[in-house]
Order: sequence, then structure tokens, then C-alpha cells
Amino acid sequence: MQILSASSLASSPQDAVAELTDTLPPTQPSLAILSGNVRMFSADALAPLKERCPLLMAGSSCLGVMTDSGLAQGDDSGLGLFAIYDDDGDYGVGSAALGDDPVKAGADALTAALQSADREWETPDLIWCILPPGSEEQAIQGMVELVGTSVPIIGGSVADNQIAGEWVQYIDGALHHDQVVVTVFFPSGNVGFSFSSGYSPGSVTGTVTRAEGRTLLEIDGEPAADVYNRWTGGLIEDVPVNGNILMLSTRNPLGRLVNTGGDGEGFSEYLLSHPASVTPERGIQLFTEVNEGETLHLMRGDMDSLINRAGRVVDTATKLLPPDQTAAGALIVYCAGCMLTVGESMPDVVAGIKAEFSAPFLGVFTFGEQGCFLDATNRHGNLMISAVVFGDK
Amino acid sequence: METLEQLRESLQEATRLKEQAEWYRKESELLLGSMQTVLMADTPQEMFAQVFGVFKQLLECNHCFVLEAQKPGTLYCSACSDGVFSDSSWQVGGLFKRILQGKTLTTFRVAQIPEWESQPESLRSDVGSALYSPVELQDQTAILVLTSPDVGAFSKNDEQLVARFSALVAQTMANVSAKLLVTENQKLRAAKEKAESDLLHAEKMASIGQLAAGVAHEINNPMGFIFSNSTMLKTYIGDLSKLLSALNDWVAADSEPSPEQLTQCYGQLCELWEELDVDFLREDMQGLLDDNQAGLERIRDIVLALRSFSRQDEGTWEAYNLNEGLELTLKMVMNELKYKVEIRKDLQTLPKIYCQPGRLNQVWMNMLVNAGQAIERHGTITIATEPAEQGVIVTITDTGCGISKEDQARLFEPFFTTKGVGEGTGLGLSISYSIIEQHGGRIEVDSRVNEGTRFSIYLPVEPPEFEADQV
Repeated sequence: MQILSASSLASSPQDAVAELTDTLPPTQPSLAILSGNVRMFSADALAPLKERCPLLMAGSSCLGVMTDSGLAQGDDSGLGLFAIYDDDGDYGVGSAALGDDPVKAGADALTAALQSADREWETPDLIWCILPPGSEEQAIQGMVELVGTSVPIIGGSVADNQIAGEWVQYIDGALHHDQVVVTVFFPSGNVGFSFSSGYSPGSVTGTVTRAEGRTLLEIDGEPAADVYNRWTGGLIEDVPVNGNILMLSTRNPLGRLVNTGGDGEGFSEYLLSHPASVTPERGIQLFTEVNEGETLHLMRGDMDSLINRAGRVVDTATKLLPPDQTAAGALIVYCAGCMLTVGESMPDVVAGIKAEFSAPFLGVFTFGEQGCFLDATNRHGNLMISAVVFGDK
Repeated sequence: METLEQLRESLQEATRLKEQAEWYRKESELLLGSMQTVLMADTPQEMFAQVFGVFKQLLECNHCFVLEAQKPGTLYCSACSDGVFSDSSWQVGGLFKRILQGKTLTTFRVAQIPEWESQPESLRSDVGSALYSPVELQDQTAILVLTSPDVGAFSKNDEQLVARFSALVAQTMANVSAKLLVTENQKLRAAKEKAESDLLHAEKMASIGQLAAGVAHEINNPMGFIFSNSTMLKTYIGDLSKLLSALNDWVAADSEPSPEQLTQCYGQLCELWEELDVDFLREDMQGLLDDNQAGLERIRDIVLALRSFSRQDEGTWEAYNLNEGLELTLKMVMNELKYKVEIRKDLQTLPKIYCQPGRLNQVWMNMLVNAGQAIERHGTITIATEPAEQGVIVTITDTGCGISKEDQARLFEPFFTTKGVGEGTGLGLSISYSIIEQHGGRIEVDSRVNEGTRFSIYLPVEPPEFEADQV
């Protein structure tokens, strides 16, 4: 197995694609994953790449990407490519329109990916997905219903630059906004993965007493925004109705205890929900669903953790490879909210990854993260960091 | 100093690594722990039962079975943990082909897979997903199948564990095959030994039959004079009874005899004493009794020797002085030889050797009978023993007709005989050769036609494969 990564900061999609294509060897890769600034996605521009890389998975990432070459970010630039050459492995890409049945879309996309890999009945080692924000939980459910709980589902929700719903996916020569896109991996080596949120639960908790999908309306019978404002000491005191609170709330998301760690010796895990905006009824719009009756914890994190976490997650994933395999490359999912909060310190994030990982990697910035928790359950959450490391035998 | 967040991250990382380490540990322990019990299996069924037991201990599987090649394009279930799939027949499609090419894989859902669709609904009704691994057997690749009632029950870790275990299974199957071969060899060897033993006994009985006439004569001779002596003794006892009756008439009288009566009595007794020749009677009776005693002892010795010789030898190994065996055998065959053969013995002091005495005695008997038969009119047989390097040498030399070179070449072949029909089994020397070989010894023949033959037998003190527990 050989993995190559490349990035471009060219301002035109054609030039960026040409730069990326030029870095590839003459042979076709087993799989190519393209990600980058939504401005770089042009069907015409991407056509040559599709020709060079017939098995291509492509989706947008907030403001660009990061690779082992550094950050490739800009308001109108930033494109990265991750190419796997693995003659002994099998890979497949499939997609399905979200429609009004995201569960079915998840299952259909996965089925298509398995057929594409010519492994229709076989359990893949990994499912990598790029989902449109909004129905990730259901799409994951559809995949789990098809293949069971034993396969890690990792990925990120496609993102645009300003949460304007402009995210995009490139599938078979056309651009889409609402597709469940899935890649199945049957690599020749092993896969190590880790999924982390380093946030800590505070002492403040409340119960969801009213919620509708991703809108948290009440906590303990009070308007959720008021409760959240009180918990955070007036963090969103001055935010108007429909005002964006993503940046403000990055260091204080809401968390739900989803894995108690079993017998008490294990690690308790929290599924994070990122408050995005305040609704007219003083509710809070989230990037995940919440359910009435669930207990919410006010979580807290610091800037250092956001900067250092990616390197640690990649390092953990690498350590999970068998001792006789070396890391050939890594895919990293980094929450776009965290990226925006870290801001100018993002080069430190890349440096932190490179300090732990010397192989090629591609990091995408997403509006939701999917990953496998310690209890072997695949979940969708926010403010998370995932890493998948591919081992070479 | 690490913040609470960083500590949580460290803990999470440690938890993932610990879980993986736990898995490796569990896997290693199970592999090691089960290795011994699996390898101890004597039959494929036993081995599979052990292997299946291990899988069920580690993985959530409801059935385990093995598919082996039946004919081109078809596999059949040769072993199943619970018998559900036993003898089921499977078509080889694309999935099985990939597995047979060496790939361990799992199918998250068996429904609609062509291989499974060919199975009756009753068999696949409680199977959601399955894990398959190729198992290299001696002459083919089989497929090990584990099933779960749940969809997508098997993970990558499970796959790798089973792949590793398949190697163990293959090794174990090879081991079982080897064991079966050994068992088969042991059975064959036991059968061969039994056949040899039967042959040996038959040959021995035939030899004894050959000797029976001589032995009968040997017994009849003393029996004859014992019978004759007994008749004489009966007559003598009758005579002595007359004397005692006469004496009794006087002793039993009611009154004391007068001097005249005593004189009359004395005269009668003297007359009767003379008439019966009691002095001769006493002397002859003693002689007859001594003869009878000797005759009975002779019969007893012959019977004991015959019984000892004809006893079915179970092949018991013991430290034994060969000279004793030669003497015993000589006693057995002496009647056959004594009229035409002069026996010369040169038996030196020997170390005891670990041997099967009964079987060696049979060798000596064959040699001596053959030697006797080689002597047509009169000759000598010399029996000599001497210690040799880490063993002993026995030589039996006769002055008989000798053996031609052609016959010498076939001397130890089974059923080869130069004797007339009904006179020999043709197995004596063949069996003798086999017995000496079993003892780690060697047998050599040196013969000249019309001059005689010498058999030299070397026997080691301990046979090369002798084991103390055989004593």
C-alpha cells in the first residue's frame, strides 16, 4: 500500500485540480479522496481528476483542508487530495440521495459502495462517509441496520464556508448537496482509528424537557437559551434572535453521557452538541439531535486542548495498528467549529499532527463528525476529532 | 501540568490501548490455552469439538462447521459443532472461491448470498452473519465457517483471530492425521505382531507335534516298566500276604501257644519263607519301587518340559541365562536325537541378557531339530555358547548333509523347506530369523554340502530399542 497526499492553494479550480493531478503517478489510484473549499468545486474542473482517479470521493470542507504539507485554506482556495494505491485491497464508493428517508439513503449508499467494491456481501473494515448536515443520525442508522454494529463508521459532514447551506459533493461528474456518500474499505493492511472529544463535564446539568429534532427548546422547563446563558455566566446575553453563537459556544458545548465506561474502571464518554444559534422562542439550534428526558451537561474545553488534540488522536490511532505494520497515511476529521475557534493557531494543529505522524495525511473541517466510540457504537456528534490511520504490511 | 481536559484525553487514549491490549491478551491466552487440548485430540471429531469450543468461548457464534471438497464445484460439511449442518452440500460460488484462495472474510448478512441460498431454509433460518476462513489440509483447502444469529456480528478483530486460529486448526489437523497414521501403524504393527505370535505358536505347536511321537515313546517307556513292575509288586504283595495270614492265625489265637505249637508255627513259617523266597522278594520289591520312582520322575520331567515349552509365550522380556534355555530345549528334543546323534556341549558362563526366553527356546528347538534331521545315520551336534562384546554367541553345529548355496540364499524365506511334504512347515528358520532380529541380534549360517552346517547367533545383552518398562 502506498498513500500520497497533495494540496493546492491555487485560486482557480482548474489550476488547483491540475496541480493535484500533476503530483500523481501515471497509474490510477485504488481510491482518491478529494476535499477542500467549496469554491473549488466545479464539475468541469474536477472532470480531469475523475478521469485520473475513477474511484473518487469528493466533498467540501470548511475553508479548505490540512495535509502533511500544511494548511491549504483561504476564502476562495484550498483543495487537498488523498490517494491510496493498494493492489491487494478493494475499495468502493456509493451514494444515495437523502430524500425523505435518510435511513434508507444510508443503507442504499452503503449497498452501492459494496457493489462498487465487488464485495456485495462482505463486511468492510471501515466505512468512511461524507454526509450532508441535518440527518446524520438517521443515515448512520441505515448503515448500521445493513451491516451491523461491528464496522466503524467514520467521517464528517460536508461544510461550506459560512454555514450557508452551500456545501457540495461531487459524484460521477455532477455536483450535489444532499447525497449520502460512502466509501467502503477492504485494505490490505489494518486500520487504526480513534475518535475523541477532550471536553470535560462541569458540575452543571439539566434535563431536556422539550426538544424537536435538533432544536433544544427547554431545559428543566425553562427556555434553553436562558438556561444556557445562565450556566455560562451570560455568554450569549447579547446575542439577538437567530444570532450565530457557534464561535461563542465552542468552548462550552452541551454534552450527553453516552458511555458510562462499564464497570466504573473505563472511560465515560460524552456526545457533544454544538449550540449554533438562538431561536425566536429562546431555544437553541444544535448540530445534533437531542431527545426529551436526556440529561445535558455543560462541557468545557480550553484552547490548548483544541490545538493539541488532533496530534494525540492520530497518535492513538497509529498505536492501534498491529506492531508489524507501519502507518501509510491518515484521514483526519476536525470539527470546523474548533478550527474556526483555533483560527490563527491552526498551523500549530498541523504541527502537532506532524510531530506525532510522519506519513501523508488529509484533514477536513466538517459541520459534524461521525465516529466509533469506546463502546463500539457509531455516533454522530459535534466538536469531535476523528482519525483513521492505514497500516502497511 | 495537564489540565482536566488533557487528563481525560490521556485516559481515553489509554482506554483504547488497554482495550486492544486486553483483546490481544485474551486472544493469546485462549490460543495458548486451547493449543494443548486441541493438539491432544485423537480424532478429527475430537479436534473439531475442541476448536469449536474455543471459538464459542471467544466469539458470539451459534454454529461452527467445516466444509471440505467433495467433488468439483461442491463442498460438504465434514464436521459441525452441533450437527445442524452435518453432511450438508454447498455449491462453490464467487464467495467461496475467494475464501479457498486464502482470504478470511465475513459476510454481514447471509441472506441472498448464492452459497447460502442453495441451503434449505431450515438450515439458514437462525443464521444472520457468518465468518469464513480457509484451512489448509494435507491435500486440499477446507473452509471453516462460524455463524451468528445476528446481522454483522463479526468484526475485523474476529476475522483476524479466526485467521490465526485457522493456522492452528491446519496444524492440528496435520497433527491428527499424523496421529491417525501412527495409530494406524500401531494397529498394523499390533496386527502383525499378533499374526507373528499366532504363527510362532502354530509353528511351535507343529514342532511339538513333530516331537510328539518321540515324547510319547519317552513317556511310554517308563510307563511300560512301571506297569510291569506294578504287576510284579502286586504278586509280591500277595505272597507276603500269605506269610502275614499265617502269622496272623497264631497271633490272633485266644490262648497262649504251647511250646509244641510254637515249634509247629515256626516250622510252618520257615517252610513258607522258603517257599515264597522272601529274601528275594524283599530285595526285588525295593528294586521295583526304585525303578518306578525313577520312571515317574522321568515322566514328570518330560511333562514339565513339554508344558514349559509349549506355553504360549506372551513376549515377556526378562534377564535370562541362555544356557538354561538351551538345556531345557535339549531335554525336549533329546528323544528325537538320542538314537543317532551325539550331543556335545560347550556352554560357557554367560551374562544374562534381556530377552524373551520362550521365543529364543523356540529358535534353539528349530536349530536342533533341523540339525538332527540333517543327520541321516549318525553324527554329532555341538552346542556352544560364549560371551561376546556386549552380548553372547550361540553356535549350533551339526555334521549333517549340509545346505546348498542356492538353498542357503532362501533359507530364511517363509515357507521355504527342503523337507518332504508334511515334514516341515517351512516357517521354522523364517520365524527364528524374525525372533533374533526382534532381539537386535543376527543369525549367520555357514554350511558345506555333505560336511555339515553351523548356525551362529549373536544376541546383545540389551536390544537397541529395549526399554526398562518392558522388563
